[in-house]
Amino acid sequence: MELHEILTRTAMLGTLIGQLALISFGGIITVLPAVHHQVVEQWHWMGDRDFVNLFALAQASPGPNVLVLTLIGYKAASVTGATVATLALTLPTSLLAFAFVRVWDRFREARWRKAVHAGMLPVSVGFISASGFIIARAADTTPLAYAISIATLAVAIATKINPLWLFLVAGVLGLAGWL
Amino acid sequence: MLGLPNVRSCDAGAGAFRRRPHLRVRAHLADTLSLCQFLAGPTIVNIAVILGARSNGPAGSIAAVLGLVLPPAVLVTVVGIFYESVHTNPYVARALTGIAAAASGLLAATAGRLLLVLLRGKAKESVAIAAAGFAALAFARFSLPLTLIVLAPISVALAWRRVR
Repeated sequence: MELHEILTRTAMLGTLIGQLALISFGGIITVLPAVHHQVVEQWHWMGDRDFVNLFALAQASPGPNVLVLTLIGYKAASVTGATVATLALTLPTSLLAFAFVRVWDRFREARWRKAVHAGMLPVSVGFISASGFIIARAADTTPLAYAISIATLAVAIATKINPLWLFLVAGVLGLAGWL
Repeated sequence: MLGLPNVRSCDAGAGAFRRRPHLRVRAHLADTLSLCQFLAGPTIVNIAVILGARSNGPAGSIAAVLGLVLPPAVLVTVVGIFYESVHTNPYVARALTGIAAAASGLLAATAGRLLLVLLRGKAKESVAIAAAGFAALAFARFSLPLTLIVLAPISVALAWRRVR
């Protein structure tokens, strides 16, 4: 990739992530559908398969799952993209969080504070569900992949098993060519 | 270095801090979890900012965020470099198909657990709000800012009537 292309993509992705992070109430996972829409459907930087693979690698790697955006940054624009994506993801909202601690302490018992808190939860639950839907639609391309998703969903809700075991079993099933 | 153990959620992240009582943050934990749901941005990073700030001020926040994000970000970039060189290999592609299916199941489990919280709660209108948010993004393909601007005030207004 040419330097010019890398810098252009880095600027586009950094702006997108920086903006989305500022409205990601309930966590970064709530803006994943919007990221998918831009990088896959609008900009065509990667396909569905790459997007879900990167999502899966971020989940299976040690560290916060939000680093899927670091991986998307790398895929889109190499190390420059990964660095800027990570900064856009963490820096602006960290500054806001730091500034907000005092506001929070002051208005802890305020009715508006409780109302915003209680009101934002169902909104973010809806958005997280939409993320799950979009990832599942991209990841589950065969009936057996669907079966693995549903089995993982059931096991994860019913038990406290370390997800790495689920990744291992699913990876071996995939490798065996059953998917 | 708290970032390197598998920190996968708000709760797991809090657990990582809870297991280290010398950080003297236990008393703040429940409150911090509540605050982190209120803020935009990566939940676990916000927890690090706040716990760092409460124990050691700005320097504490910077150290906590760097420790949480930097090592795994470098690691994940190496994973990305590796992925670029092997993802066309048919064996790798097949294994990743399985792993991605499991990852999507785990995300669905996160959504499912939160939905159960709403279904068990007293405020049944919350379920309708969540369903509207889901449909707007997953099916109607409305933009996120638009959906948020419409849905958040409605949901907060409904919540206003039940909190005091």
